[in-house]
Amino acid sequence: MRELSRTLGAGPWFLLERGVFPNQLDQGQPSTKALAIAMGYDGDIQIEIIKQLDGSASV
Amino acid sequence: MTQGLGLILACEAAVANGARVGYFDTRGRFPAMTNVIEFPPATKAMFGRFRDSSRAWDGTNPVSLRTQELVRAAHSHPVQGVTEQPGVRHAGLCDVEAPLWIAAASSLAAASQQPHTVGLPAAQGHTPFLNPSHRSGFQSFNNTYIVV
Repeated sequence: MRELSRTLGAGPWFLLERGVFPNQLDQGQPSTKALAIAMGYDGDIQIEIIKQLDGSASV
Repeated sequence: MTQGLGLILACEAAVANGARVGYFDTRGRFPAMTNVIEFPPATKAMFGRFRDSSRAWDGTNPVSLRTQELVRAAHSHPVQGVTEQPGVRHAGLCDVEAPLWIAAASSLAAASQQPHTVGLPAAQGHTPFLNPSHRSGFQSFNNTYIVV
């Protein structure tokens, strides 16, 4: 977030520190990935940073 | 139109406001996966608040913590699955396909064939994802929002 604010001027950021969203399917299989999600704007461009918090396979 | 597109819906979930979000594996057509999200009024308003905050931002308070509210909201609006339709392929289970994904796949396929009509680069390019020419969000069909 700091880097994108510095380089693009994006922000402020709206951060969900940890979320396990329902109805997840990953490669067609049920999944319970925990994610941290930060969302901010650079002008009209939306920027979303997603960090996976558990050890399951990434998409 | 959706027949034989070969787009894989790599993952999906229900997020804030019950909107479904999915990532199509569009690598080879675009430089990355493509995020498709349902765009109900509450989501549109939420994104609008974020955007407006950015326009007025003076650099103070760079991070606002969100609560589990949006996860709870997603749980309270369960997605209703429908039967499989042709055109979009799950890598595994194929029992929760929905018209949204079919429409999204069609739109993405059209975009990849006519990149200039939606401000997207040629699919064969290797331009970094954050190249300004790439950063294009567009609404191309009812109630669905695609970010490339």
